[in-house]
Amino acid sequence: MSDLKNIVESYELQVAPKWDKNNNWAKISNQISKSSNIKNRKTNLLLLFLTATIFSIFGFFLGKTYSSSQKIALKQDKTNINENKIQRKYVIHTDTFFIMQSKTDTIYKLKPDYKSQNISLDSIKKPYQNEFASLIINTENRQQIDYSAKQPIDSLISISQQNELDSMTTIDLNSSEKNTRTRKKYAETVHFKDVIKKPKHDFRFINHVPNFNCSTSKYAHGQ
Amino acid sequence: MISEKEILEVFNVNRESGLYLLHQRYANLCFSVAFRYLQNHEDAEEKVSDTFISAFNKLHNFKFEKEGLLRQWIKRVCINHCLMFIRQKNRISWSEFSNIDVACHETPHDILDYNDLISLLLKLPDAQRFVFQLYEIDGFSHPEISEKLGMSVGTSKSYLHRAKIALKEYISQGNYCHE
Repeated sequence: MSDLKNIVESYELQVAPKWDKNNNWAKISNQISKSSNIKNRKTNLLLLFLTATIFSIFGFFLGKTYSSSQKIALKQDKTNINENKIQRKYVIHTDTFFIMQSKTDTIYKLKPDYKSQNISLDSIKKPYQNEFASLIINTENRQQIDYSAKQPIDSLISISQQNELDSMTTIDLNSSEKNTRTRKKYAETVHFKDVIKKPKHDFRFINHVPNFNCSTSKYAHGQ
Repeated sequence: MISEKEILEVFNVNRESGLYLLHQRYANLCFSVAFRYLQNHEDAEEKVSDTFISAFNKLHNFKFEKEGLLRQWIKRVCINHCLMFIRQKNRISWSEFSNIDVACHETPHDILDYNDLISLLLKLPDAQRFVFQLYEIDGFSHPEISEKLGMSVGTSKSYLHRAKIALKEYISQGNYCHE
């Protein structure tokens, strides 16, 4: 039988069959390039998907950590407020400035672009309008903007509910060690002046934080 | 002619160029083998394409030991594609034989050329023809044949035995064409 095998092998190796070999190669080459293109595309999609997944997982955990830390901070703030009978507190975020009324859990949010934005007193709930009648914020670049009742300019303050704080950094002004840099950057000096009416609520600002001066004497004791 | 070692070296540097050289060298062989099994020009050509595309994806696993092994390898790949095609198309139906231990020592004839052999093989039923080709020409063992064709080892042996008897009969009758 080995003869039979030899006959077939030698014939198949030596005698070229009648067929279009080049056309066959063209088909193979075409198919290979197609499949490699598909492979590349699949690899790219896979990479994209993996990157997106990694980022979303990372973002999720980061957001969760951030959110839970805010909740804790807010809870601590409330506790302090209740214990010390302090009615007002500043909550400062790196890009947003807040004033929080603790009793009603109302938050007044001032956007950081102090140059162009001003407080519209209309947007503040009535019982507290007077309290914010003239709030002067000295920003880092020393530009002073008077948010007075006489100048109800474009709307700036958006009144938010307490849950908005979940996504913000809360600064406990009782603690002098936290976020001094942020405070320095966004609110060097905050004070009230020229209060139109005597406020309904007796309150004091927490003013024992370095570089964060709250002049409340006129306001706190009444004019 | 470029050696198998050189083909593999080129393939390791540039797969497409290596495949081109392999195709230049063994495409004719593969076509002849595929045609011997399928007896159809278009199908054979398609299976040659499939063979070389498989080679493109798997040749990097091939370890060069000596000249001639790459030829055997590509031939086997081609035969596997042909057998898969045959099974998919249900071109043959295997009728199971009882497990007969058959001695396979008889030779149909010693003096035959390729065309005689092919014309004789074509007279055989498909199952006998495939088993005979796989065992006697392409060097597959009975367990391999039984696995590839989906039959028992005994059936494979039986088909081979019957094929040999039939071929012997055809030859003794002079029932083949000399070209």
